[in-house]
Amino acid sequence: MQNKFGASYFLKIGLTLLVITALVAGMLAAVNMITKDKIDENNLSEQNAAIKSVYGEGDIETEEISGDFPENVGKALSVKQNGESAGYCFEVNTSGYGGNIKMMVGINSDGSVRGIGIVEMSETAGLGSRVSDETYLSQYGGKSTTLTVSDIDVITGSTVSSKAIMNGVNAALDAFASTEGSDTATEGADGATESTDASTESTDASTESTDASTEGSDEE
Amino acid sequence: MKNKYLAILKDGILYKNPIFIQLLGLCSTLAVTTTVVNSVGMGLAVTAVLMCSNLMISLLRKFIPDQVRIACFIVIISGFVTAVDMLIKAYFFELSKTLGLFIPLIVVNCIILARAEAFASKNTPLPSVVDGFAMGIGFTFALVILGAIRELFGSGTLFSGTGFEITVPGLHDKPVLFFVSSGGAFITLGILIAAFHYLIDKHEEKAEAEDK
Repeated sequence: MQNKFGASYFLKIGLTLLVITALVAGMLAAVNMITKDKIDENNLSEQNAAIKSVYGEGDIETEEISGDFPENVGKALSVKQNGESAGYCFEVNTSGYGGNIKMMVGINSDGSVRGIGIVEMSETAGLGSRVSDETYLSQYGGKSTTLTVSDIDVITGSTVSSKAIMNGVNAALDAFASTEGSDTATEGADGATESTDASTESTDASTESTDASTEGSDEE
Repeated sequence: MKNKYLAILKDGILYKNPIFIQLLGLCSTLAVTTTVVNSVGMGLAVTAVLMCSNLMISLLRKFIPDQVRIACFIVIISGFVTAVDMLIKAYFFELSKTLGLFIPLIVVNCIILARAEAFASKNTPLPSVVDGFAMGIGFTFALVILGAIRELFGSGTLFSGTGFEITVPGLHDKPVLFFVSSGGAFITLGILIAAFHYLIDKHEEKAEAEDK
């Protein structure tokens, strides 16, 4: 019994753990090898489906662009539809009621919202999940200024989910503003942004700060 | 011999039902049971993990030192959960979108660790797998009942997401949204637990009376 806590005791325990973790890691590596391609394929087709729901039918070409975008903009694509430039599409991550919402927001070359496609979300079924309904999403079409709650019809019982989509659209609009050639679009939006500022005092801090940044960029 | 397995099956599904009797793993239960399809998906994922982890832990039970057994169990369980997560993402993509967050959380689902500790680490592989299966099916059974009630009243549909979707006309237009919320889940579950206990007690009384 004296030897119980000797070196061999710890060696034995350590080695057992090592063997078990190595076994599990090996199994995971094997499963990963089998499933990785399929998972990537699924994610890509999901993203393409979302882009399609924004731009409709037609030959769509996308090209990834880089730039200084807000943190929650995951991917920025410049979109060509049937060979003609059709603005930009931003992949935005926004936090809803049930976790992350990943969506594609299409912005026309003139800075107005083309449409929204939800890629991934886990909002409550029957409540928050209704933000992916066409009736809710279509109201964003044509908007070009940073939105506040008073600009949209929020879904009853799903304020958090509705606002999450709104914040996502705002992030996409911000991202668009930071791409080249968007000066005219933001200048036109200037007056409208200020008036919404004054009308809603309930706007949360994050929206206000985005408002401020839009105004800042206008003055340049 | 045959009776032993039958007893394990009965225990898992009825007398020691993980949800209705043991009240284990309620967090994911309340969260995912908004529709029948989600319930079945979650139930089967848990069943798969339970069977695999029970088998593995039972096989390794003499090899795992007592002092670090919990660490070993968790490593094995999380390994299987991650594997199931990847498989669902690859082959049941639609399901993974709704269950998404809850699959990784199976790791901390108490049912699995409880079965590893209470059964698999003390029994031979075959009964352990049967136990995993029985507990998993008991879990799925409870989830499906809860999911069916919540989907029926909360959304006015049944089996939505499959080919056999049933829509209940009046309820679909004006669903009782309370059933979809977590509060509704708790209350539905409470009533179900009461009903289940009543039925089990009655059944046992009857069995005792027959013995006499």
